[in-house]
Amino acid sequence: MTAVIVAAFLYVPPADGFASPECARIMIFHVPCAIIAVVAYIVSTVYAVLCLTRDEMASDVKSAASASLGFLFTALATVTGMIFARVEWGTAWNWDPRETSILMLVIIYAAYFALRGAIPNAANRARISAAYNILACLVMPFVMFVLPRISPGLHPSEVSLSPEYREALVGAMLGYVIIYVWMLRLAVRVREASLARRR
Amino acid sequence: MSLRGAVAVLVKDARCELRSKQAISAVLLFAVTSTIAVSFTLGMIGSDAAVASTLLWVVIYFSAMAGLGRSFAHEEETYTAGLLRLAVPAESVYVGKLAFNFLTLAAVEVVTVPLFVLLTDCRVARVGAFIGMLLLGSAALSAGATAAAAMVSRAASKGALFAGVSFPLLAPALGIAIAGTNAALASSPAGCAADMRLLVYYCGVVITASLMLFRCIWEE
Amino acid sequence: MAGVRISNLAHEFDGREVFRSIDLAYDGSCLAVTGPNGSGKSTLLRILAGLLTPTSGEARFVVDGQDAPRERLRGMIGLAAPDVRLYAELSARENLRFLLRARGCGEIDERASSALERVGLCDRGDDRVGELSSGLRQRAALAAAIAHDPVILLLDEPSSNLDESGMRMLHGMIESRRASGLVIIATNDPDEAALASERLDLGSAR
Repeated sequence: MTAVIVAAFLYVPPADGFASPECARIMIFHVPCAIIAVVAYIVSTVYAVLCLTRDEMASDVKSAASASLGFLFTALATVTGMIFARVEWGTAWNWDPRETSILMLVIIYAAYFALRGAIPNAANRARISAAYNILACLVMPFVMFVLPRISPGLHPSEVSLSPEYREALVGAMLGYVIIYVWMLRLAVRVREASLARRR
Repeated sequence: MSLRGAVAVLVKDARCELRSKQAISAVLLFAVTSTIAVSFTLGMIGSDAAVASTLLWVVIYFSAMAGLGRSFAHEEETYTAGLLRLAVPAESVYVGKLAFNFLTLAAVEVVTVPLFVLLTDCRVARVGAFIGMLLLGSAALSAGATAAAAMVSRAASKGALFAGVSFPLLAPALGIAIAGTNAALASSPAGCAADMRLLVYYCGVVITASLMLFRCIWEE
Repeated sequence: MAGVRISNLAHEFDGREVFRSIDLAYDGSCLAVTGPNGSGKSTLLRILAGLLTPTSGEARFVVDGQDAPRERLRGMIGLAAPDVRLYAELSARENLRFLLRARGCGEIDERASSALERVGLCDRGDDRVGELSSGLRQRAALAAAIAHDPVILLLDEPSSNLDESGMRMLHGMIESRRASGLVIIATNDPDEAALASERLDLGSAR
């Protein structure tokens, strides 16, 4: 990631076709964050399904850990996106379909953690939060049908990248995946140790 | 699942509600005062279908938030949930409660929607499509709200949590209902058939998923 | 006839152990579950009724020599417990009719009337449960537990709030139920415990 950060500022040239060519470098951090946010949510949902169908508590720990990381990456994607939007399109929030879908993800995560925090019994908490996770995941595709009606998309559907941008993006993507997996393993170990200590 | 059990739950809830009138009076009062507040501040909306459809569904949505969360919380608070778990299969409990929530919302709309149309002078171009959107939208809101209410009933602090937990589940249905109602009010050439189809799919997905997940939510 | 099989049963609430290592194979007619406050009597009855999933171990019923499947237990078990209450807005008769209809029983009116008569609530059966005294509410709860003629009757502190005639009614109910099925009573009352042919003491299962 150090190499990616250095490359983003020193190796990658200013981008053509943007209101602020220098600010376009934020894409190298914003796009992988957004992708990892969605991946983390899908991983959380998969563990939620396993929690209900197999071993309850171990899968619940992983589901919650992935959701917490997903929330972090969603917040980072939102902030970097808002910075770019302010510079590129004039306002920090435009209700662009992709902006709205990331906001929906933030709200789902927030509701998920609020629900978890409010259920005192651990077994009930595991089952009910898993059910909520799955239900919210099933409902998300409908957002894709609603969003285009609200406003036309500002995010480009097709982008041509220079070789430097492509290399930096791929490097950033790899780096974020490694960070996510590493942090997930750490978070799971911390939660499992906390549960064992309580027992 | 036993349909007889679901009907028994629906009849029981309706009977209890008609006698106590706790949920229906709170929801109706909220809906009527919201409608009056909206029309008082905005005046005559007339043919502005986009504004009318949005405001109408905001009133209906928050009325649902005010009342539909009680369906399961009341059972836990009065210690009758155990009786329900003993006598009725989980899926039948969900279907019965879903039907009750839908009827509650429909009853509120019978009062609120004509009042809204009257006070805002809202022009309804296609009455059949408008009523169809109201029914389908209410069914969609009831489907998601019933599952959310069951989840929140096990929580320590139920009140504010229900609205927060429901919103991500109901937001797509709300958006589709607003768009479809807008088309019905404005007699859009494209019509609201696509929106109606989407709401049917939404109901199908949410109800099917809730039926499959409800046992995990309901049983201890 | 019915029996109960409990194998290495343990339960905890959020890390706090309620009981552990309960083992029992009982094929008699009346079992008393005794123990000090907090020993898990009510919890055990909830597990047996299928209202709670134990942390570990197994509890199941045997009816006529065969394991009773969980799907059929709903019609075979009756439970009267302090934390399982009737609907206060409905009368005792309406509560019974709801439960009988939900369970798919036939002759609903006859069964409801018979159960109310059995517990001495004939003249108050159409009053709302919320308006009844605690003793009459307890009688109504017992009527709800027996209305569908269950093979297995689970009673948690059944004599609480009952007067002398209520106690006689309860003892008569237990005697008639044990003749055709299984009665399990969770109690601290020595007289109630004396009705049972076997005793499971949870005070030693911690």
